[in-house]
Amino acid sequence: MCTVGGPFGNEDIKRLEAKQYACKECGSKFKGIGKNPMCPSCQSEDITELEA
Amino acid sequence: MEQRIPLDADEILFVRSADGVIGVVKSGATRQLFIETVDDEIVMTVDPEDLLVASGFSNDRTTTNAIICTLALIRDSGSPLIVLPKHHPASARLKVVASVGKRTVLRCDIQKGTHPEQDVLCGSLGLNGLEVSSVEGHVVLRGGDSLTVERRPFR
Repeated sequence: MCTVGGPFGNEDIKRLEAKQYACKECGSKFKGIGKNPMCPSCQSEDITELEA
Repeated sequence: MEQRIPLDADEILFVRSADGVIGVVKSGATRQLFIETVDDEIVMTVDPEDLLVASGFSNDRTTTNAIICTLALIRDSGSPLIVLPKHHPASARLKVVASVGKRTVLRCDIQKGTHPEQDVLCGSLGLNGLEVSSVEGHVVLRGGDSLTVERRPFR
């Protein structure tokens, strides 16, 4: 994943193919990429992937 | 050229050409990075062995310091990565760009900051084609000529 110091084009970021997740602990919803995603709000790994 | 260089999470590796320099650190204890656009946020999960590579477009002390600061901001202070709209005037002013992942290839023929693909990072002409990849406890460098390598503490 190439970025920063480092902005890149807004259109290009769509190619990152982030998935939508919801946290079962705190209910937060977020977009994530990478292996073993975790909730950015409560750091829980108890999350579920949402339908696109 | 292929070199396999030990690298701990508290060290930084500099690879220098005549016209540019990259700094490489392991992600270490950092688990998440935040990518922010004008209307969205993406949470990127990273592995301890993933590499953060920052590329500067000259080889001097100022650029070296900027690389250290960039990597510290991203990895250690949790600063979000700000994504500007395409063709934003700030893109042309970038002094350092960075990538995150297991493997990065330096390219001198791409526009700074415009390639979010997994493994391409804008670099100076002298670093063109250099491949930087991670194996456990080490960094592997492939390609590139007349490069100097320096490992030092990163704190």
